[in-house]
Amino acid sequence: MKILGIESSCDETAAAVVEERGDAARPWQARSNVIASQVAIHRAWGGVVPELASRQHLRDICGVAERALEDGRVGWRDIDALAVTQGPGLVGSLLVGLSFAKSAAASLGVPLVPVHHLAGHIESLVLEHGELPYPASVLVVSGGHTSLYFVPEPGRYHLVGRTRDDAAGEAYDKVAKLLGLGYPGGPIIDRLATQGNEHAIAFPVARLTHRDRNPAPEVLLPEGFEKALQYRTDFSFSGLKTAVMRYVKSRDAGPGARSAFSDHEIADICASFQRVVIEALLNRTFDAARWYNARSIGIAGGVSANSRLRAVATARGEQVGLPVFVPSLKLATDNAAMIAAAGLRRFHQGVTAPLSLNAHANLSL
Amino acid sequence: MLILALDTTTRPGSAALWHRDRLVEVREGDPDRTHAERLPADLVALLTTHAHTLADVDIFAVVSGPGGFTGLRVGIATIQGLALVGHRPVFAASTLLLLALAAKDKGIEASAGQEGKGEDTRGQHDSSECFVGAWMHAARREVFTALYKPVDEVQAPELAGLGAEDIIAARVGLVTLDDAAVDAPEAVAARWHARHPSARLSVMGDAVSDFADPLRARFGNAVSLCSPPPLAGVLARLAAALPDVTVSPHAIVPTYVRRPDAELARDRALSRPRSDREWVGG
Repeated sequence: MKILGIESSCDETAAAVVEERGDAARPWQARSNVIASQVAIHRAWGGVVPELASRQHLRDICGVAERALEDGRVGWRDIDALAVTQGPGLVGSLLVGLSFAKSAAASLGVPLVPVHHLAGHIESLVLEHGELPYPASVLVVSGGHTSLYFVPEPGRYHLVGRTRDDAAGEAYDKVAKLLGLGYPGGPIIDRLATQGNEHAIAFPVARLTHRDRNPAPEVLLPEGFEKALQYRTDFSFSGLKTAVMRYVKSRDAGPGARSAFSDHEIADICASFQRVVIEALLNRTFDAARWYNARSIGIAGGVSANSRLRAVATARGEQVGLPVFVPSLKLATDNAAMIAAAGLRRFHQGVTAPLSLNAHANLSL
Repeated sequence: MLILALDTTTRPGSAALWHRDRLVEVREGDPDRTHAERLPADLVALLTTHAHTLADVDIFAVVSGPGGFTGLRVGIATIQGLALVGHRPVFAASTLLLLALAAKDKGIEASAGQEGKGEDTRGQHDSSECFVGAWMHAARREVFTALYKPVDEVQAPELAGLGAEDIIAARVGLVTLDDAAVDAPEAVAARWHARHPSARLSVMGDAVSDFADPLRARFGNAVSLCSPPPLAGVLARLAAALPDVTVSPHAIVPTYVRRPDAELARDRALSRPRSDREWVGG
């Protein structure tokens, strides 16, 4: 079976053809994975501008879909189903991919499978490495999401932690903007941090032990887990961002403060900031793995490309005897191969969508 | 030739089917459901009613805007998906041109009716020119507008240098006088009146009921205001008249008219004195 995946939840227009291999341990193979990135457009704004993103998706969607078929050496009539990101994401962006996919499915007369964007990121690990040792503790961390899932078996996901405010990747972008380093902030800070002392500045690590006062998706634990653990795996990065801002202001430096600091100092700020982010992410991921008796750790999403995060996660995994899985760069950032893979999973669970399917900016998983 | 036309620039929108030499049906959408919920099922249902399928369609047509940004993008992406998979061309035309064309056709029909009755009210304005305009809601107390001059024929050399939209307009006997714009109704009425003080106007669009006063204040009895018909029918008729002006689905260019808010905000910030631009961390 071959499935065409379509992804347009944020600032990447993507399409991919994924097929089944007939191997339960390594179920899928990507025949193509095409991504039209809008980073160059949004760089000038220091972040993703939703209206600009929607406009660009409309320009790119046809070419990206055709290229995915061409790279996959298949025609439209070889496609057995379409999978599309239904949410969460920017609704204007989601609707371009969703509307296109619904029409394509109607025209071909094949099933349409709605996919949760974060399920796609989780399944990117399976697409890359084959089925994980289950249960798994999987962190999805990107510019728009920081969520921790307990995955007891293939295709079942329990949200056990999430950010209360900024996503980790968003914190990278904001700190990079504050320091005048450019956009996107993750790769820049990761690179500069290698030259700095990660203990130079004692930025705070947020620890959350109370219920979120803001309306948000409830964190649901699998049955049998202590309720008391429920709020210990949430994340928060806005305080860290503010701490960096205060540190910068304490030096009488304003926005885009790079010139107020030496290169060495900038590297120290980046390394210290990054240490705190990674500590927060991995402490909760490994804590959850211990509480839930996980047999593996997964880290997916754009921030999983961070070199320090990968190195520290792998080292901690070796210490506690848990294998750590991360996707390759092309499957780490937003892509459609992961949506197609998750679509295949859902299709075999019997999930398809009617043509009235709508996008949901805050879809929960 | 089977043409399936779609308009999603207003809340209800519309779909139309043109077969051989006639408009088979124009169907308005349900305003209580979003375009995303209704599409492409509404299109499939229209085809099914008339014993056709998506595979039978020769040309897909879509209104390219302006209008509600979300509906516009849902409509275009829907048509892109259908046309790309079906390897079919797309005809796209702006909402403003379609409104002007509908206003022009309505004027011709009215004139024919008057002639049939042996009356001629046109003599009152024989010395003035008659133009057609589009007047659409653009939210924020603004209107999307354009002004055209009906002509009998445009010679081929006159088409040189025109953009695709202006070429379509010229081929159906409309010459653009005032380009697509978004502005306060008062500002547009003032601009049109300053340029064409003695003109008679036939203006069509969904904003004629709410924002008519500025036009009446400037043009008095020389302006006639009409509510628009479902635009998918006008679009289907136009696509049938100009089947050679199609594009690939990749090449559909949305007519937003209004720039992105981020760009407008940036321009406003840059126009302020530097001391007023306070940075707020983020």
